Amino acid sequence: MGKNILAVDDSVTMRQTISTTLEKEGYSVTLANDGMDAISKLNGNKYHVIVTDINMPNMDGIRFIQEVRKLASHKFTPIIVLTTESQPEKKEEGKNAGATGWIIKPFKPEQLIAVVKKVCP
Amino acid sequence: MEDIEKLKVTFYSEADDILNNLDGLLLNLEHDPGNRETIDAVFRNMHTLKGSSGIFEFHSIERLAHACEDLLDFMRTVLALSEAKKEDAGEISSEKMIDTLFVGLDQIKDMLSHIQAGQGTTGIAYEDTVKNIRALLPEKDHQEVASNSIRDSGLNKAFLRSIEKSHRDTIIEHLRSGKRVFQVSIALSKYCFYKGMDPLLLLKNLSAGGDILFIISSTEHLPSLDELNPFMLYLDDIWLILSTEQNCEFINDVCEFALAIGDITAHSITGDDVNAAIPANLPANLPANLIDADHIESTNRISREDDWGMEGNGINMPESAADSSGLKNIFFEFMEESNSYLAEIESSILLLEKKKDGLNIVNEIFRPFHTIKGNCGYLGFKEIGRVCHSIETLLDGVRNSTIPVNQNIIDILLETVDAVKRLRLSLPMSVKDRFGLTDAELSQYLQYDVIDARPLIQKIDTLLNLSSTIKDQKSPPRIGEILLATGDITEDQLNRALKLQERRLGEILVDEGIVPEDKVKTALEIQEYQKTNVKAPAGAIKVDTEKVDSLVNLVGELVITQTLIRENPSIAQFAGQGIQKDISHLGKITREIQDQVMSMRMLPLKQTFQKMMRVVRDVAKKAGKNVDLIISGEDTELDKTVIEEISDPLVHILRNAVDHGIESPEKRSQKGKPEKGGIYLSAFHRGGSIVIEIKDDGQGLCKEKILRKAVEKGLLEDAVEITDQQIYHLIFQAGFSTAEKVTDISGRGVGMDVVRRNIEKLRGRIDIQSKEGSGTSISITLPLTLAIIDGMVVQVGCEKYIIPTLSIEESYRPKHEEIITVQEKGEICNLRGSLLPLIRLSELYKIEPRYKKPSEALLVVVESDGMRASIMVDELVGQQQVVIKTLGDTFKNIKGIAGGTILGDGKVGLILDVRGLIESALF
Repeated sequence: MGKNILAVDDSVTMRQTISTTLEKEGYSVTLANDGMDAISKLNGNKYHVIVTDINMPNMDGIRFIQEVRKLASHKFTPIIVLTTESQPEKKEEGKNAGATGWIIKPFKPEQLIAVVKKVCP
Repeated sequence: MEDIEKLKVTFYSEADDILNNLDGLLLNLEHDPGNRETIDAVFRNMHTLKGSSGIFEFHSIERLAHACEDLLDFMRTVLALSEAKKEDAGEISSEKMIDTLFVGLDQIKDMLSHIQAGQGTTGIAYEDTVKNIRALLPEKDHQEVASNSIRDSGLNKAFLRSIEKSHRDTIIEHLRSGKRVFQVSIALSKYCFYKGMDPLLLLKNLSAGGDILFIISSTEHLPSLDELNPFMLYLDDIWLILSTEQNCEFINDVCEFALAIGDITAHSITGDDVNAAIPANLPANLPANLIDADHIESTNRISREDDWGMEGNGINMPESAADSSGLKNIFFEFMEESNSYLAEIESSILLLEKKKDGLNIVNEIFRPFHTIKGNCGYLGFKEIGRVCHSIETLLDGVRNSTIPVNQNIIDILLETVDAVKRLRLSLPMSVKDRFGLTDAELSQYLQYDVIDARPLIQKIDTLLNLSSTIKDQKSPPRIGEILLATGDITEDQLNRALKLQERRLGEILVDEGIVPEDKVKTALEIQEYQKTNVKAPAGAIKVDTEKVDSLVNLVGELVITQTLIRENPSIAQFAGQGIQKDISHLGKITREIQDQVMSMRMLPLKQTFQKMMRVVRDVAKKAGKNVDLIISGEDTELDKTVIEEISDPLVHILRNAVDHGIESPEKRSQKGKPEKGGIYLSAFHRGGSIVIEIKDDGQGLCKEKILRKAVEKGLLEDAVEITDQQIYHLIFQAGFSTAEKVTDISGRGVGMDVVRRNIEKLRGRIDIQSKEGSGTSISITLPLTLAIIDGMVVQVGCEKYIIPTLSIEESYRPKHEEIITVQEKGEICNLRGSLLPLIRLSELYKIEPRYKKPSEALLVVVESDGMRASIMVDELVGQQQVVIKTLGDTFKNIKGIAGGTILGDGKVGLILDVRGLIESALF
């Protein structure tokens, strides 16, 4: 089916977990360590889902989401936020920036799979 | 699951890095409590720890990290508040908070090492720390995130009534077969696509878990095709009947994310509900079954990249005048509306000119143009519509950042506004008959002749085409192209400038006055940005240490084998046949490989040194001393194993330095020293080895005290002649301590001998220098690697031995009268006044030496731990690097031998353990 996923997180453990989990389900996963890295990977490529953390250096998740929504190529791509932040204000911020959904860390690998399947069958 | 184990390894490594970082960061925070960046960095690191540890269900670490996170967040908030009020943020990160964070950090380190060792984390009082942190924080209303869930809106009878009989029969069938049937409504925000949410996907997911038996939606807000904005959702109310074996939780789950941007309701319906909803007459305003449930499966997402042109005549103009009053009003309304829209647009453009960025402002310009365009389509005002459409496309490019906002764009926007204004005012005259306007009505508008808007549209289109060609290019665009696209230069100017291309294009354009300098600067920035987006692949890979170790071993063998070949007599006979050159070349390559492989195991001392900063801080605090640790040479690299083993000795030496070396602040000022004591930790290369030096400006070692203690403990006979060095080295004896007070930290006398043993294990040496009153300096000399040592090959009889060069002071041929035999003590040589024991290897190892008289042989003076001796050998063969091989368990305990190696002639050479030899000679 060849669905591409972009996963952004500054923790190498997290990146590998996401990658291992989703690649088993047949998705093709590209990894990025922070917002800037992710933006440069978005240019010229097409992803069907973006999974991102909020707390990252160089460009935090909220700003990253805003930048993604400016790109014509990914304006309507589902963006799932994967973070430990559970405050309603933060969620609101994310929503306004253009996030599609929110998963709270820690998460079980099955949860991640279910959510990704939901927005990208 | 095997994957989990691999991931765990990654986690342990990452956590290690994070914990080390945190040490340094917290120390920085201590010095600079109001530093926002540091707090953020600490927060991020804790956050990552929390998240990752949660994956592996290390809940204790997770909880503690979470508490620390909360504390940091609090510190952040207070800091932001005081920044806003421009107050002094000094007191924010109070000492207590930082101390608590340090405690928490240490506990996390502990827990992690316990987990790695396979033990549990009970016994580590992290719950206390969590409690302490909570105590420091203000009461928080613990809003656990109220996740939205589906409401039950109750039965929608009108909806049920609108369902045709055939469908209702199907519903009853499903109910009879035991399935659950829900009435579901989905009302999403019209901007849902902008959040990556597609209602079609919701429907697909619902039908994946059940059957959608019936679905309708209100098309009230659905505009005509030429007005439709594909980015918006116009079906704001979708109602459906879902039959499923699952329960309401399933619907909740599917709609989880949608609930954040819309309202979703579900209600379970029964057979009675269905039967009771008998339609009387189908109400006129209920829409027919718009979407066939079967279609949902096969429908794909509507492509939103299609171009929406301006075809269509709009609505049919009614012929009869009776309706014209309605139309006239519509026209007047249009004129009014467009007037105020244009005014809005103009002020937004001016705002944009000032601010140059701001997605919001661009939207404020886009929307009114869009509305005007829509109305024009409706009313058949084609010219205005086309202009609006072009400018809309341009604005969309600006919104997507494919077109930058610059003066040129601003100018075009303003030009467009003017054009639309004039077109608007030319309308009344041209549509007078169509709308049946009277002269009186006409006169309320300024009259304008119809203008030709085509040049303007052309201009806009050119700009759009240029920018889209740039977008399609794979390689970063060239300056000329960018400037052409932004309209700062014309094609002509570009060509003229390119002809002068000895200089760079940008320079030429500026020099010729074609383009102002800042425009070129901006273009260069764009180019730079595009260029750097092609990132170079990361330069480092992580390798298993086992693999490196095995490689080191193999390389060692390679070196030996290569030497064997070189020294092989059968090869030597081929002198001059070119093979010597090849073997020599082979040797060169082998040595290079060796160097590379050795360097793979090298790590900088940076982390170790930085750990020491923490140690000094903790000890100083506890001991009530004021000390600064200054490090240098932290980039010096050491073999990985050496770094691991050197850490503990360093810690101990530093502890001693702080605790016993540096005096209390009062004592120091009494002595005229600065209150703050200094410890200098440095590392550097010297003569093929690495030296780590710990210098302090404390009170130095007191020789008398040491001597006294030694005699007390029976380690030394009174009045024995002993050098300073030997005195200092007494502190390495087990149980030795001249500390008056045994503190928590040190003074029990258990530390220094362990230090010495560790350094020995590393085949290094310790030297001590000290001056009473001024301070002490301890130097640790270490070989660059463990596997290879620099050695002097010596010959005794037909055996060869290797003496580590590190231990050799000098070698000489003694004069006959310099050798003295002392009863019961053996032989001694007099070297410039110092008496050194003479060690005959021939006697020790029962070999027949070539020279029996010292004055005919050679004495190699060696030193270890302040003790010296001389070793008698027949001759010195040469100095070479030697690969150490252990002798195996059988020979482990031979005194005086540290290992073996294979020499160039294929024979085994034994490596001498200098200290062992000296000890056996002296005692």
